Amino acid sequence: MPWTVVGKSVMGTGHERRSQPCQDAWAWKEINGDHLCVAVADGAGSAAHSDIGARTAVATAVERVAQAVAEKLESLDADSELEGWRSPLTNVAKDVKKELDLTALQKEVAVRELACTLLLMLWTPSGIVALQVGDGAIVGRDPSGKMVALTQPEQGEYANQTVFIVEDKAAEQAQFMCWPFAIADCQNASESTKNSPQANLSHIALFSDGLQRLALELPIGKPFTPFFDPLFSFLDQVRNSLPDAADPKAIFDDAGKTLDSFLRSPRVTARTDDDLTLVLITSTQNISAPEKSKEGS
Amino acid sequence: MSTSFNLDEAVLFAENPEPRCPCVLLLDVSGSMSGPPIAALNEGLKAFQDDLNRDDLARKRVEIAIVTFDDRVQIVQDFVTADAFEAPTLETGGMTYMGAAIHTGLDLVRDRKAQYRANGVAYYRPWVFMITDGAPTDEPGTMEKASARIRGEEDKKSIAFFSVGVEGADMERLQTVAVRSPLKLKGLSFQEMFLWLSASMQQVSQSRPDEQVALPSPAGWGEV
Repeated sequence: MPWTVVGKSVMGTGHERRSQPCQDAWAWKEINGDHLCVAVADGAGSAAHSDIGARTAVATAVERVAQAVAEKLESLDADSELEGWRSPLTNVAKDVKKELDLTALQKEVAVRELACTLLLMLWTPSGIVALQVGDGAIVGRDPSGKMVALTQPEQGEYANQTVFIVEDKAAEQAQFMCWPFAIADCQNASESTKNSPQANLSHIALFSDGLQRLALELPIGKPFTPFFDPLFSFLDQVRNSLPDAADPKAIFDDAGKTLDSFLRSPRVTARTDDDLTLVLITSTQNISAPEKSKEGS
Repeated sequence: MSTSFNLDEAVLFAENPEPRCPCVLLLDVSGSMSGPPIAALNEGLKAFQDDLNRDDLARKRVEIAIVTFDDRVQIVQDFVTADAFEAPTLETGGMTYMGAAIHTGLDLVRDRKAQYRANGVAYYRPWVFMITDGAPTDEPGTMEKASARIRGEEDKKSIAFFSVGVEGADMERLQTVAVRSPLKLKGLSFQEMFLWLSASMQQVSQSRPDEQVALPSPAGWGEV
């Protein structure tokens, strides 16, 4: 398997106090052996069923991305330009909204009650694409250890305002970012990204807004390296122990527990009482090989 | 394997400023407030200070500014976080220059927001909380301009403006000043009112994205 993925959503202490459920959710899917999709959603605190909204959003998102990848491979549109993912991923975000509209109808509630953010990351052989509606962020690290922000938390004027996927035009106005491996072919890359030599990212993290103030230097949204380095070392250790493991599932269970207890530790909960989601990803080869797609390894 | 990895000790956190929750008090200290009302108001301010400081997050996030008005408008306290706030002892004077005070209060909010933005500090929607026992005696036109400004800023969700009338206040006049209906203070229950304000500020200062903040009921101190 080309990637090692460890992630957790945990309920915030504030939600426990208010007897709210955990309103964060995440999902991932490996597609065709050479694509990986990860989705994170953070349900709005004010929405009555945003836990369902968040779960529906991530499940729908990874399914639709899998379809989009299959379609792209079938169409022989061997166009490796990552910018070409803008329209399919925007459509995925629109589909997520449609699915939430449908769920709201079935549950006979306003779609507003299912409001959530959506963070979407697709790792392809030619690079990484990310789409985001709302707050939270997606960050990456190159093999030299340099951290990069792939997306930024999207906030309104006030600290308790953001954008949700159920809003009109949220999909169309979503942040879209691509990080091409080896060549800068993406028009939408920020100037700094364009001008710097493109490194193949070896690690990615997605997190919901509860971790924002711990993991980013705000307001510029620069990833805080001392936050991510130990987490990625931990992930590397998990990855490296897998080839010799008799029971890989036990390794993942253990890793999940370690991440879970970190997110619930007093040091973290003293800083934030919100639900927290953190997903850590590393490529097993460190650098994905574009020309080779493997199955069932 | 994973037990050998202590994330709890290894992971360091970014230091970001706390998001701020600004609150401006516009306080009427005209002559009619002298005696028991001003004493009760001063007591209320002390209760406000104490109560905010009992909440670990609110004391770092709520910022208070005080503007008093009689014949003159005075910024008694520019914005400070609750943990640095010391309730002043106010004294009473003459007329009721309410309109001028509103302009000063809204200017304070505007300038504070600019400072937040310049320093990358996140913030919540500012509250302006006015307490009066009379009717405005500003120069003609000042009060109308102040009212129009409140309406404009409420429309843009730039502020939330609340007004409270103490016994003797012209409630009908007050009704026309702001968008939200004024509340009438029961007797001199300033203490209860400030405890309510403190509880409301605590709620707002800890609300997360898109949370509609359910404020406590003002029934203990006010009537519509």
